[in-house]
Amino acid sequence: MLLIDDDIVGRQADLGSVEITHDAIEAYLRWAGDELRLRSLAAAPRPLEAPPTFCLSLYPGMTPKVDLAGDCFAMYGGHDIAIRRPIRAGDSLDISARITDVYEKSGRSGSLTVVVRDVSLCDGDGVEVVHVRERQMVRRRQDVARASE
Amino acid sequence: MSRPSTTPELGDELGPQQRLAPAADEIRRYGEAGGGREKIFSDEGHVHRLGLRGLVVPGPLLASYVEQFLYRQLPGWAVEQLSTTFRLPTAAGDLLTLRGAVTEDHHLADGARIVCDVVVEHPNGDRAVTASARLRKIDPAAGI
Repeated sequence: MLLIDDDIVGRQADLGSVEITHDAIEAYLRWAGDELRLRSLAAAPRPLEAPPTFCLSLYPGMTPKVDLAGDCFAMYGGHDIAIRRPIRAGDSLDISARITDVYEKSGRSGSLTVVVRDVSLCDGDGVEVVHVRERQMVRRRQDVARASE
Repeated sequence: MSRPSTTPELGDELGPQQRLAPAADEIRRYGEAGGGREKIFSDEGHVHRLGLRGLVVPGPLLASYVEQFLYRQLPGWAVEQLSTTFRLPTAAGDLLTLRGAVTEDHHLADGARIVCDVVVEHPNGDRAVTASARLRKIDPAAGI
């Protein structure tokens, strides 16, 4: 049984535009503890190309939001990132997200509902630079508590 | 500064490499900075009521650990696709072991590709994260 109505499929969100700066990329490397890239920057600073997972820092995950029943909670289940070309300092990206699927899955701690979102990051010409497919897992609280006993 | 390129072969093992998950305070800062406003990143009472061991490490950070592992293990190759599945919550301060293997290699018209499977394990051997990445061979002068 789905824990969320599948009538949310098709819901969209405009997540705005973001200007990519050297500082933002460097801050990401620090946040992620990416010591190897930080060392290479210190040795030879140059125009920055962002690491592939930088895209995940540019928008709030699991958006558009969905309302959960009081006895449910949601966790980030995973994602597929497709890099069409690296994100670079100086890029201006428009970000949009859409709920594309809702389905039921059996997990180790019982049944859960998966909400799939497609997130598109496009350059100023509308060309997709990165595509992310996110999977959000929605579970009942008691299933998790029982599994951990 | 470019790093010498590697020539991985099918079946090559990657790692293992160990690293610590961030501490609880660092995870709280992630939530406060807008990375995730859910209570699993900020409220220890809430996560214990859910049956979890501690504040949950954000998925995007674990994905970055996987990518960093590949970047370190495979100089001269860049991730162009990364599929990540979070199988178990990782708690603040967990000691993580990353390991992987080269599972496919392809010689395409626009350059070489390899596929690597990576797992992130908890100290008890549980696989918290499984990932599969496709990497392309890059010009050593490009990228960071």
